[in-house]
Amino acid sequence: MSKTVWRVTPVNGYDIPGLEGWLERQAAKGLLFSMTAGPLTLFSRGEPAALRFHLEPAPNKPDRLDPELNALYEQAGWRYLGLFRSSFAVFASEQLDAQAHTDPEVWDYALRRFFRRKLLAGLGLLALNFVFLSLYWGCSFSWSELRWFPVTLLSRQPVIAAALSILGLALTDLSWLLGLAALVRYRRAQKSSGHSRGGALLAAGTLILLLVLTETLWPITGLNPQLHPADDFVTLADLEGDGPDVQVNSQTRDYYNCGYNCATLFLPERWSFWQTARHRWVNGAADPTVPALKLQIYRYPLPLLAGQMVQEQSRIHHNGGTYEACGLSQRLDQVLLSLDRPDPESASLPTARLILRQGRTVLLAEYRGDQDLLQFLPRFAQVMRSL
Amino acid sequence: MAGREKGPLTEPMYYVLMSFLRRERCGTEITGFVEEKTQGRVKLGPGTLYTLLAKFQEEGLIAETGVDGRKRTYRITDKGLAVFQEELERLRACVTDGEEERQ
Repeated sequence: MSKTVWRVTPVNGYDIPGLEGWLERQAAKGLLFSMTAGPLTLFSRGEPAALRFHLEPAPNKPDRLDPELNALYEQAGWRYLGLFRSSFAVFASEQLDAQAHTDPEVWDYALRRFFRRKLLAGLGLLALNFVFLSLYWGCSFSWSELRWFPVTLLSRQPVIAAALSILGLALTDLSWLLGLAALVRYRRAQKSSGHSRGGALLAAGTLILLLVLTETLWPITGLNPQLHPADDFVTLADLEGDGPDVQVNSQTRDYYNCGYNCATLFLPERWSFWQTARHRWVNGAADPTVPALKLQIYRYPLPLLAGQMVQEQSRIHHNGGTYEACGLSQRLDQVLLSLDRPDPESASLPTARLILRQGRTVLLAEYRGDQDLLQFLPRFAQVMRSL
Repeated sequence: MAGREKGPLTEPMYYVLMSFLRRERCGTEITGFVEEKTQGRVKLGPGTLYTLLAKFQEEGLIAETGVDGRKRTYRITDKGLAVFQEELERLRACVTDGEEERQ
């Protein structure tokens, strides 16, 4: 049997009588307080004991406990057990009627000082809020997007991470506020506010924020890799041939760009690639008279999500064109093609869009040029299989 | 009040301040002094004593004079003496008032 036991602290971290009562109940079960780690409390397993606990608001430098504090408590028959979250020094006594504080006015003074310190700790919490929210400042979407294109939106924007950040911060902030309220009530009434649930809130908030932090720190690799035509990716040269208009310069990002993002907790693995034949810009946009190719590939954890992505993308009408299902081949599960309605007065090249799904992988191709995209299905299928 | 603006001293405060009148003391000696002086009537919990020492230092009533291992020694300051004297006079007045009324 393990000698150490972890428990989620169910009581708010500032609810002194609530915590003391909880630690006493754990000691009666044979779990003696050792230390804390975030919302968790570590106990050492031993014989059940009836103990009186006292949490003394820790001095200004709680990481180094004042030896004088220890000496005074030891002299009075108390045993120092450890620090509770840098907030309290935890003492236990076998004398169940032992009293650590014998002057209500002095105890009130200690509580007031502790309250002020915890109020200032709110500044740290504010900074934490700012850091987490600033990670997702650029994340913008509309509710109609979320309603009609949920998988598309969740594939491209860190909506889940942003929502979880807000939830995690809200729970942590609420736990802090409830803790302050519990302290105020305790000071006024000198009794426990009951079994406050702030501990569970902090545990849930911390867990959620850890998930989000893991998501944020997940490695993002492969930005602008030096793709070579020999790689499996379909290039504009594959579609257009090596004509004078297709002068691919892999060193120039304007002509040739590929990005890869590995899968994270909340985002699918995805690749994006675009290539323009010549570097020409018209009114800030790529010249519509030169061929261009843009590929986006998403690999989802479940085929269901991939199917939903295809369904959402096929709802989009591009310049009058609608997606139509095409014959299946190359072991593809779905093939949809959309052709823009050409403007007879414009010199723009026609644009075709292709959606392919193979299992849990979806490929979206947007091609501006004269070639028939369906001719290249084997090449696209090969790309999807090779990833 | 000259030294202390927050009202009269409580009993533990009064006796802790009194313990420094004759000599410097460390925290662990104060408990014994109060116990002996009051014959166990005034209880001084370790949390109360520790907080009081910090509070008196903060208010300038006592000052630290040395550290020996886990023990810190303190002495009373002029301001501390003034506060104690003021409290003593207040208590004398209380006793006098009470006795006058009783006669």
